[in-house]
Amino acid sequence: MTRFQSFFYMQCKLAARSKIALFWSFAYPAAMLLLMLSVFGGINKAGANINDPRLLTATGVLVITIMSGGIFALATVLSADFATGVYDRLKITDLKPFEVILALMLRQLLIIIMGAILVLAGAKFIFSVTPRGDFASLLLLTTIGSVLFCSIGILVANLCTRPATAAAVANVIFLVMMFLSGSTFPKTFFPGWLKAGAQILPASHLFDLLALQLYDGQSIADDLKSFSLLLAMAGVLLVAAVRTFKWK
Amino acid sequence: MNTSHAITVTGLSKRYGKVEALKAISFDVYRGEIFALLGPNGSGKTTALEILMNIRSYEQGKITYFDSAVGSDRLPRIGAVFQTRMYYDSLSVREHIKYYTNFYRVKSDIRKYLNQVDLGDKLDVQYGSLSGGQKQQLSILLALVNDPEILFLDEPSTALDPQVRLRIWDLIRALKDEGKTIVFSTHYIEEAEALADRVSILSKGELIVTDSPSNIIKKYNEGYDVELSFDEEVSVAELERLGIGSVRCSRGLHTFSVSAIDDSLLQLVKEISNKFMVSRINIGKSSLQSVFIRITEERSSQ
Repeated sequence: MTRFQSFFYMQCKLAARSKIALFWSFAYPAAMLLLMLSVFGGINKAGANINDPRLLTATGVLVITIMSGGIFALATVLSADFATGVYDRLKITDLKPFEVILALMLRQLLIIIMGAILVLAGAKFIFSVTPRGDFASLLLLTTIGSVLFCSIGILVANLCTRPATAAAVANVIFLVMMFLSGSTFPKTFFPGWLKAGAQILPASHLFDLLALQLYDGQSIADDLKSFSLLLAMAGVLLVAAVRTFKWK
Repeated sequence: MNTSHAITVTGLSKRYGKVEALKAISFDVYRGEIFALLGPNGSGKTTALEILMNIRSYEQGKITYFDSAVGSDRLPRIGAVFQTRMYYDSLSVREHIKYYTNFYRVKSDIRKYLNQVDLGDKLDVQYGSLSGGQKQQLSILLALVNDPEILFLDEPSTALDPQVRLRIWDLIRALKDEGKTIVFSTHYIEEAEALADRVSILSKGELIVTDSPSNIIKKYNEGYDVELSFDEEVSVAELERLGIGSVRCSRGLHTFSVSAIDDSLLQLVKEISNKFMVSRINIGKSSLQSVFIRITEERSSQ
């Protein structure tokens, strides 16, 4: 087994044994789905059509799942591990920073994909909301979103000196994006300046692109501008996360 | 013991804000020796060790391993035991050994050490369920998974019971016999005296002396330690008023050093016996402990 594989397996095992990780990865998205679709939709409503607003609600929960799996999981767990010195010990092994970051991101991507399947399956089987769009595009957007939000999580852990600070900063970033990206409230309700400001947020572009798929039934090619911006943001944040990684 | 250098430290300085943690310290560690950094809490031992492990930065100085500067291609394989337990509570002993072995290019068969530590029947126990002594023994075991040339141990037996401490000492001696260079920090003088070929004494970031324990005793020796116990309360000041230079008091035992056993000492002991209710007098050769306490106290009072 290579260093990378070994670190990846170890991280997967740690996540599977962590009640907190399991809660944020699966219980939290499931609870959000139940809550939001119950409030904004209603159980056992007739199947979704092209204008069914519940598809937007499910899209919002999907974005929240990707964000919490990326930002929270890495910012809080990684900063706690930095504080206890686990990574000081790992630094004196032959592991390289990019192997560590890649393994952490891959683990989170797997968890996020499982969470996304849970959300979409829950929407379909409990609320009869059948998402539209093709699997490959959804997987691509979920992957880019995961890389982007994992990079933010790693950046927060890298830059905050205490776990409590990292948790607070992660919360602020998460809440701002959750409320302004369209994941919880439609952006059409926002005043013009707020709508323009919200478009700076990566979560806005992820929501718009996923909604394009799931709600409008269109493809990524129909909003290449948002896709390019999302991809560029993911790239820049990934580079920043790798560059600021200090093992502590 | 090989007298070629495993580590050479020259003018190493480190600051934490306004605090000077290390003040241009210099020392050498020989290949295959056990070397101790001895000092009270806050003396800079851990900082020095962490810099040597390459996990902490420093402002000034130069460190070379086996005559190659840090940053060059030729860095030694190192193993490290940290003061805090830096492992995962939910992973078992077996999982830790498996994963940490895989994190290195060079792998060692550490099964041979399993008999020397108290973990043979704990392989499937999670780290979080191990006792403090077992955790420390696992830390040492994991420091050996890459067959290190230099092993760093930061206070390896702090807060351990005597049996575990002796077991760890035996393991350290066995590792030395294998030819490994071992550098450890401690504030237990008896640990440095029992294990180390040479010792550096640190106080407030300054390196006071580096030598073998016996040479340090010779160098700073005032000859003999006189220990006194009393059946009444006697203060250090009262004893010092009798003309004794510097009296140390610990757990009811008063100690002072003299250069020789002569008439003046006998006269002094007589005077003390007349003035106070002495229950016990013990005169012995100066130990590393008395030298250490005296020179670190002298530094603290400067």
